[in-house]
Amino acid sequence: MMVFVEYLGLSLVGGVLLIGFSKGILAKLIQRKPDYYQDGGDKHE
Amino acid sequence: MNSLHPGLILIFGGVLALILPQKLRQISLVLFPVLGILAFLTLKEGASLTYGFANGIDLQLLNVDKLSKAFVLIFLIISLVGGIYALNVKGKGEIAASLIYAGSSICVVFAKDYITLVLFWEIMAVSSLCLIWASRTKKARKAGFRYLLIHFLGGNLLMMGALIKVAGGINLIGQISGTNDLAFWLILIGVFVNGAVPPVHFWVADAYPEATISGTVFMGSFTTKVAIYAMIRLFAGSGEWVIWLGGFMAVFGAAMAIIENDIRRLLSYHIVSQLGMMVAAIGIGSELGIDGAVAHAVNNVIYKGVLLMGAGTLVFATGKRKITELGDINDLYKKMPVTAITFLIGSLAIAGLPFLNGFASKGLITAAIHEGHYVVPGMLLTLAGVGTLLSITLKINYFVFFKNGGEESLDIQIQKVPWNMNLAMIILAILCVLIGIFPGILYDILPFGTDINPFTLEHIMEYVGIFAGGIISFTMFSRIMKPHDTISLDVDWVFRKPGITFLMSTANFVELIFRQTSKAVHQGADTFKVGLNNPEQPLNAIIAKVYMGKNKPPKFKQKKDAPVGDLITSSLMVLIITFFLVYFILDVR
Repeated sequence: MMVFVEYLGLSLVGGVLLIGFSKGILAKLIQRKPDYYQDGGDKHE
Repeated sequence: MNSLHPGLILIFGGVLALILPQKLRQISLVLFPVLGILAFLTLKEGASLTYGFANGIDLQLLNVDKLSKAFVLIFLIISLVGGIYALNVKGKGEIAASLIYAGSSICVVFAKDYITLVLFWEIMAVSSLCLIWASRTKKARKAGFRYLLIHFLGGNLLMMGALIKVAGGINLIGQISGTNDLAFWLILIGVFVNGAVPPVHFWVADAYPEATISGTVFMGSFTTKVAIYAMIRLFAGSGEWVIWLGGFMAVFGAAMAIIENDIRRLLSYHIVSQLGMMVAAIGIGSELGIDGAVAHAVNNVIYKGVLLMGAGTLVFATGKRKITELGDINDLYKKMPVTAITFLIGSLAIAGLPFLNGFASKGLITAAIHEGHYVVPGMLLTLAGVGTLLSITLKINYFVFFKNGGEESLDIQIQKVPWNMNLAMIILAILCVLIGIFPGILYDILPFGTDINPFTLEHIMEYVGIFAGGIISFTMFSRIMKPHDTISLDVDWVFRKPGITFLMSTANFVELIFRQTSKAVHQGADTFKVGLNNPEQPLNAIIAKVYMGKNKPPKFKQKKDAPVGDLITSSLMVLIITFFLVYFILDVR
């Protein structure tokens, strides 16, 4: 049971951190509109 | 004793496919993997096959031991199932490339010496490139070119390292130790390129989604797993930094997958994450770690195969590849039940649900991590596991298959999925369940024969806890997890933005130099010609310049009717040619 609680806590905190990092920081840094590469000579459909 | 080589059988099949009529060509996609499996079954450990190459170098094409056999077996299985999936492919180039790619991957795994390894490594790169270009789109052409650049870089580094080894008298592949060794680093970076280790990982997400539907399935199975095999063979236990690198890769791939909208790009990022787990296990280097890496590579080919086939089937049936678009189709799970169920099984397997195959191999890696007391890398791998659950199991299944599109739902015509595509997905899904329930099937083929019981209460509760935590965090943030119609920049940005600018600037600069040089040469030649036609004119110009001071000297005008000048030119040419003839050819010196 202790293992369950330990991994539940770890994955809950980890999941929240991962979503926060990915959607909050990473997405802001690297996500662009779908036509971003059009003016670079490469059409991203 | 010479033996039949399964890889060479597939390569032969690929070459033959180029000249076979269409029906036979399509059948060859299944026939040659079956022949390859039959040849594999006859192979015994220690079997050899040697081919005299050049300058006394022999290509040693077979290195049959438990490690190579585990990889070759799964490669043959996926070649067969992938062949079934691709049965309705008609293009001769694509069929040939698929078989040659599978065959060359097997040849790399069985290679006993460096030259054989490099030779088939390059064939593998070129044939996989053909699978990208076979989709014949502008995006595929460009992604293929970037793939070519990075793989030629990796291949060349590998070749340089291998040549250093061969020059030093080491022909046979084996563990490379000593970080002061230049060959170590060259081969390591070359292998890392194929292993999609950041920052040279970008080609996976850049190229795989642009390949043909069945091409992506083949690509997802071979190149990166061959790199994992090479890492085990050459660099197992190279240091703790490899474990950390693996942990970073695993989390990085999962984080990128969470924000991705293109379903095949998402799965490609997930390949990076899964490879990270294998790299960490290889870094541990213990028997348990190596067995964990091999088991996970085998399982990855199976469940990633189901997932890539499922994604390909979605693209085939709907013509859509973005989750935002697929999610707008109401009740997709009812319209494509086989795809939905097999995808669900694959996605639960990759997340490590007990009684599916991912649970069996992740258990080995976790045990190796615990055995070595690597606490933080272990936490990173757990975090990556949660990322897997969030990005594939929950995100794709929820937003693509089970969530209704609402008011903005699309009512598009779903194309009927051919029986062969459904069959291939069902076979792999059954394998996920079969290995999950009877992990001994997998453990039996591992190099060190590790045989643990993954179904301990502690291990099951560990994954139940991970699933519960992941589901709770997804439910809490389901609105944030909703994908948006965006693209994610990656290292390929360097090629596509500053790279293009640099290339264009360099090309313009070189063109300018050529244009100016050409102009100067033409002007000089014209002046020379005018001078020869009318020798007095340039002389007059010089005299005029000297005596007339700042006054502009008269401009030359070529006399069109100047036979005297032409005569002088011709005479000079004849004289020069005669001189050379007499001096050099008749040798009067």
